[in-house]
Amino acid sequence: MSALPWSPMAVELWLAAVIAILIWYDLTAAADDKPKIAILAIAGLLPVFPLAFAHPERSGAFCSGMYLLDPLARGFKAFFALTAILVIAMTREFARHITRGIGELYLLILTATFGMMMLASAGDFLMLFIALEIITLSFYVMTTYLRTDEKSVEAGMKYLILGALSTGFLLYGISFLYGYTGSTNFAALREAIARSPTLPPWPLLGFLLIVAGIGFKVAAVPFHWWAPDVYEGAPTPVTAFLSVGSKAAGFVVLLRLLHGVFEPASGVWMGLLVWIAGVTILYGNLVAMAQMNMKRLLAYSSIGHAGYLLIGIAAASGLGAAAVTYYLGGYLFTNLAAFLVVIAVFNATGSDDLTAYAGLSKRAPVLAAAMFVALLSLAGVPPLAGFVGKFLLLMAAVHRGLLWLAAIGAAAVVISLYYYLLIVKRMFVDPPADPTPIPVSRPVRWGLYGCMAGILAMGIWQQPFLALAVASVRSLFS
Amino acid sequence: MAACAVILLAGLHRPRLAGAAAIAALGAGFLASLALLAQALGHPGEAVVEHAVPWIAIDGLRIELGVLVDPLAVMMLLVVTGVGSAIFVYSTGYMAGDPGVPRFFAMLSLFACSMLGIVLANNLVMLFIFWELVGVSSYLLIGFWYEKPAAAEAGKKAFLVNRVADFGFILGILLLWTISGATGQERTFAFTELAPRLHELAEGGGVAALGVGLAGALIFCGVLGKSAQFPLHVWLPDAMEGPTPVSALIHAATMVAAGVYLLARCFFLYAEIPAVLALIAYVGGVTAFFAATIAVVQHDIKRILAYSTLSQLGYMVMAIGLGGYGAGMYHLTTHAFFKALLFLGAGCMIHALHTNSIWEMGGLRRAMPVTSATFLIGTLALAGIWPLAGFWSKDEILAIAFHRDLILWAVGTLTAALTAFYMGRLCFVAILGPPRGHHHAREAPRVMTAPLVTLALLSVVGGFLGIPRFVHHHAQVHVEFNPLVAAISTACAIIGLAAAWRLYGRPSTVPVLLQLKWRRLYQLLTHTYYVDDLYRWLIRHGQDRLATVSALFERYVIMRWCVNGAAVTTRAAGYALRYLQTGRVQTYALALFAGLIAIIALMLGAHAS
Repeated sequence: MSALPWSPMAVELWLAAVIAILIWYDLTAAADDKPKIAILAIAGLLPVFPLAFAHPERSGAFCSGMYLLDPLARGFKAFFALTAILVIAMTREFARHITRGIGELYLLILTATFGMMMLASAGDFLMLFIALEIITLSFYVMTTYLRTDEKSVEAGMKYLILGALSTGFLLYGISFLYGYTGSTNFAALREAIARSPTLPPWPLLGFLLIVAGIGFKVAAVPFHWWAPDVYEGAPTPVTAFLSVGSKAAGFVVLLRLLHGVFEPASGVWMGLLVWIAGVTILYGNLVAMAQMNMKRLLAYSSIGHAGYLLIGIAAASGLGAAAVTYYLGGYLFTNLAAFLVVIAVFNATGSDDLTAYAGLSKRAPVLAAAMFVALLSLAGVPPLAGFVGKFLLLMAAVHRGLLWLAAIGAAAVVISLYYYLLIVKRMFVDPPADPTPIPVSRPVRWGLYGCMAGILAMGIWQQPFLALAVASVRSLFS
Repeated sequence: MAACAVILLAGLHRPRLAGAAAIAALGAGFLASLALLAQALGHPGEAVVEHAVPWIAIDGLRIELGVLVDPLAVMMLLVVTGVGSAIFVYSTGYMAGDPGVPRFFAMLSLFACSMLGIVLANNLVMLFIFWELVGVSSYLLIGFWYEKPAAAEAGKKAFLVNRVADFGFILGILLLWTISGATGQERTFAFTELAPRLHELAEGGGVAALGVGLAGALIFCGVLGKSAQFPLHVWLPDAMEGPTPVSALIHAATMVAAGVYLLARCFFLYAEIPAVLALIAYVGGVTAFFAATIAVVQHDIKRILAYSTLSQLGYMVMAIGLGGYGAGMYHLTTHAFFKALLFLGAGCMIHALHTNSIWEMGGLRRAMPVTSATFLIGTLALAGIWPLAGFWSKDEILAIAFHRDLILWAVGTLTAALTAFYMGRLCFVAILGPPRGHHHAREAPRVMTAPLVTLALLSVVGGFLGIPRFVHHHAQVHVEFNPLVAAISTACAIIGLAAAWRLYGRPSTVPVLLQLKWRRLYQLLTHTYYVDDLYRWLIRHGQDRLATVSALFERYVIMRWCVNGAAVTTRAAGYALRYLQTGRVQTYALALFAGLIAIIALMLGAHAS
């Protein structure tokens, strides 16, 4: 291996090559062959795992600090690759509802993934901005992919307008910071901030604008307005990708910025983050209770989960950062399992309403069981992944003396159990409107088995995952 | 290798397993244990294997999954797998034709697996988990014939009594864990790490030493429940409602001995706290005597054996309480042999005669020669007649008692006489007596008698195995063989047997006369000293009243005001907040700006002030 030429950007270069080849394939292949792009894309994503973890000794900053390759970046590259593989598999199930351009949808998933990988490695605000734009632009198109569906088009339009607004915030904030320090490089900024950890007004303004921009990406209150409408309107695999990939990308940035660049000024922003986290948790879970549409419910619940993740950011400690990565790992399996069931139910019933789930346990026991496990894990019931993640987050809060935040987190678990268990009741107790069995295709079945295995493994055998989480965030604090 | 045996058994929980698979697995476990024994004998001294993998590791809390194999564990492994295999084989005969056979063997395997887990656990948390699993499987097995209300009741009782005891146990574990940090190192649950630290703490005196004592007493609570010591013994006689092989395996040979094993495992702890040791010794002595007196008046063959088990467990606990670590484990082993033998023999009789009452048995010497002969061997071993296994182990305990505490010695010797008496009564009536009202008693099939013969052989030679020298602890009390003690206890045993022969050897009116003469005592004994009635009374007048008041409080105060009130408020909040989501992108953009400006204003305001 060592004899081969190797670049720190191996993952991105490889992915770019895959995308280029697939564009060529999509242009030249016959219409019947285009769905094969899914298989090719998954095959193209697999080498990311060895590439991401290759040459651990050659970590550090490259391209004059623009590009970072540290354990955090490596870990999240693998995370995004796994997410993309599962989302592509989901999209194959959903493909029958997409009339035109299925090949490009897979390509857009890949370009968004490419942006996420660059984002995980961003060491400069310029790089961060470009990577973020690659992601968001891909999502603008993907959201509107059901071109004949009003909801989808409306969702895309809302996402575009509000997204442009938040990008404006972000850029404006970056310009303030640049004006204050004369640099956009993370390392240089950190040094400048360490010299004046109380943050004078202008850089503080810049910081707040940046937090608003990222807060939009992770759908934290009060920047969450787009999420329910877009989640509901977008094609379901795109919703899943938004709720896992895009959210995780936002949290990588938050980890890098708040636990890295602005870490010396944590006294200034901790209080703000605590408030945002607490309000986000309560808002997401309270409103989720009133929803009658499954995708919308999951959107609000995902706002709530963003709030939980913000606890770990607000704690501003190594434990908090490790808890965030652990929680995201569990959230990947849990949320994707839930959306996989949503797709399977939608394919059979043509509806995302909660009423479509009545008697699911009789129509498709596998789907009901997977949804049950996923919902319990989302609620944080032991021995599932969600429990361990929530436990670590709350522990991080308690360690930093954020007792009120921990109490809100614990109270919201009860609220979330209420609406999650109502779905469970629908699935297992209510009689089905239409008792015909729902066929479950083999890829869905295996995808669900894989996700459930992940949920259980992260819930029971925490040690290796926790070690991975701790190792990946260590570089932030060195 | 032993871990492999555990995994092998763990794989067998599925209901589709047949008896053969269970026996094969346990037999493999037995062979593995034999290999371990050979290894342990090959390397005398500290042949300790400890292997652990971390299970839960977060700041300040580290729990491992691990095995600890030392001579103590090896010996217990041999008992569990050896006696267990014999009983498994026997069960295939005893349970033949029962519709629940796969379930039965699944539960037996679960039990055996958890029992091995207790034996091999290297820390208290793991031990506790398996301890509870043993409790669960015992509950399931006692209530195996769940259609019988008495069996279901007995299972529930066993479970509840054990829960009470285990509450103390887990408090003790947590207390130990807490004080294990007092030496400045990370807190731990592991036995090998606890031992030196507790020694240090107990030497240091003060609050820490007090804590060690308290923890020891709390852990002993767990033993009280599992080993059915006074006053938590009430579940064991009722547990006899389960199938007889279960009684033999769980309620005579292994599970109840788990408590004694725990005492031995934590001997490092008790060696530091003489006061608790004395308490343990007296609890054991009281139980031994108390249970033996009850056994004298019972009519159900399994209940006689159950009270006898209580009494013998009392001996073991007393031995450990007196510092006789080796002697206690020695008696545990020999007792496992002969008590399993007696239960299995009793099972054969019940199987043949379809009755539990000794007064409806009789004349079995001719009808069931193998069963009778092995049962008599078991009886003599239990009574402590030279040169059978029971003689050596009981004698060692009595010798230690003679050396340390004459009162306990007297109690022990008296109990030995009583033991001989009630076992003699059982044999003279049920086996040697004249046949009563049955004509079809036939010898049990070979699959049932073969384990009997094996166990009988072990009961005969078990005394010569030199177990105390294999299992030893540096803090234990050691005494030489004492001819005087041996002679006195043997004489007592013979007196007991002779008295039984005098009263029950041939038809006589003396027992009835005695019953009338000492009516009060007889009543007291047949009502098992009214302990059960006392508990029932306490539950009815204490707990039930409390429960009624709590229920009312819950229904009217908590449900109406707290729970429903909170739920209604929460849901209303959810529905109200929903209206913020208008669906108009202009509103969203405005809200976005408003939120941002509010945050900026607040933060800059806070900054300025």
